[in-house]
Amino acid sequence: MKVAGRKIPKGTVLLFLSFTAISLCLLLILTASRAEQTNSMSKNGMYSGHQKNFSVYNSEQEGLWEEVMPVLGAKYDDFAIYMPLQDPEMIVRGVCVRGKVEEPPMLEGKYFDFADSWSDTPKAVLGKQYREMAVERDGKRYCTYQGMEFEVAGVMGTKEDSRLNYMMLMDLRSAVRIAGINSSYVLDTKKEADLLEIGQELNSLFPLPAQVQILLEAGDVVSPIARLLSGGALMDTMYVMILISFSLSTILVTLIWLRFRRQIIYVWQLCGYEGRMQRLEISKHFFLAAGAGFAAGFLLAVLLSFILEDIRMGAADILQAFGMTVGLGAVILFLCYALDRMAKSY
Amino acid sequence: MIELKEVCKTFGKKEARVEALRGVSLSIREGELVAIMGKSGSGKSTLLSILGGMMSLDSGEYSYGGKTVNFKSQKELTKFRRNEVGFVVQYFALADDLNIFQNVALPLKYQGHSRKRIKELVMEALRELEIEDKAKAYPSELSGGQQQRAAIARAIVKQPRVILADEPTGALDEATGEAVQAIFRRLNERGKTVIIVTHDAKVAGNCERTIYLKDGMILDDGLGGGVHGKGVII
Repeated sequence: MKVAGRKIPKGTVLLFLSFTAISLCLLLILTASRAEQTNSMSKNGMYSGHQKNFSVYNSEQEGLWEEVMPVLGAKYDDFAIYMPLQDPEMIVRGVCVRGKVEEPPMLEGKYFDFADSWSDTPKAVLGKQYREMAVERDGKRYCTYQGMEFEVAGVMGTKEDSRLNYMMLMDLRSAVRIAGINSSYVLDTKKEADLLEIGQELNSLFPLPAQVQILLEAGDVVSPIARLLSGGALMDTMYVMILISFSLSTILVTLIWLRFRRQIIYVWQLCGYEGRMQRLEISKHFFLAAGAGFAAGFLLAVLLSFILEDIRMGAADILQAFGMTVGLGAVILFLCYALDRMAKSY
Repeated sequence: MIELKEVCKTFGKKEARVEALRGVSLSIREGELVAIMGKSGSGKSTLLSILGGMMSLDSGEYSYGGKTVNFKSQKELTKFRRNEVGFVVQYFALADDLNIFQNVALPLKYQGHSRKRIKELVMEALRELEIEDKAKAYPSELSGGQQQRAAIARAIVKQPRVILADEPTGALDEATGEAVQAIFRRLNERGKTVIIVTHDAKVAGNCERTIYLKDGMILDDGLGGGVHGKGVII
């Protein structure tokens, strides 16, 4: 087969098609999972879905969190404490986040990290509907809420209308200043299993007469099969299965491709190529086909996104899919090269 | 220049064991045009592969230019193949998806030459083989004779001292075969050592010396000796 005057071997065409399919599949899966994650985040009001409410009573020290938070932060990696503020017009929440829990899709700037959510400078992340609240001064943007000025760290939200677009998040310290320490809070963790442990720790860290009221109980036991068949998990399982099936077909195609390359490997040997040079040449040809396949898969995904509104690829999806394609390609090539060598030695 | 002492090579194990070479000793001077003859399975291609460093030997010694070829080091062997010998094989071994220029340029890759220099060397080799107008053609677009010329161009492009040819006329018609033989004679006249494996007496007749192999042993080394094998001279 000739393309632009160059002869392309059949095996390479197969490899190209295989990587086109695998890249398109990865791009669609990543885009769909991100959309699903954002949907569920918006539906749960930015909580993970397994969060626990708790309240602090009788604390006489307004700055008690400043003693508790560093201890908690040093001990646990992924948790968030939210403080919902009563506001009839908008959803306002104080946030202290450690590690990765639920991170909203950012349209501008960046989301809070542990230092931001407990800093001396009041900071806020605005939902995109409140973008206009921010005014620019000295190269930074500021907004005012209940007479307090906040530096705007970023703007979050989704293209479609969602709850995230109508939220304002501020650092927890500022929220405590506005509402006082004796309030209702929400504890959220990345893993549901961590809730109990962090909740107990929180309980023990507040000294009397302050009290933390938190309902701590083990979650319902869900069987692995029921978990596998639940809505989101079913889709995830299906995605994994599709990916495995494409990977297996790529392994087969790579083995065929290597079989086709035996002639050129023999020629390289005749020409005095060292093993290292042979491997370099093989990798170069393989990744050229894989790269071209990724580019074709990407173009197809872009075309699909014009036809289907649900497909909204972000830069992160493309980068992630590219990284996964390269990684998967490297593993497949290594495996197939070893298998081909073994087959040849028999 | 080339000296083999008591070289043995065996393939397979137990019942499938085949002794391809049985104590072969021979010497070839620089600038010789040598034919190696013998029936199928006599060990001539194995001998050529060992001479070109494509295959290791089980026992014995191979010295080239006064130095022992170290078959234990793959690095040294590939260096030897890269710098000292050029191979021509029966079915040409050209890469189908590369054009003739790219095929001939293969041995020059990773040698540190500039693109300009590679182009000069390749075109010079193609000119010498009278196929410079086929540089952009693919192997499947050429006749057998032209493909063999391309394979010879690839063998000589790196200017090796020795050219090893395994049945170079085996896949060609008589007229084309004779033209290819003439090319080898011309290369030999320019000082190259040419070793041709053949079972065609006509091809051997054009060489200045013929080595006969039978059952992995030298029947006649073309120097007036007798059967050489297991150190026995008859």
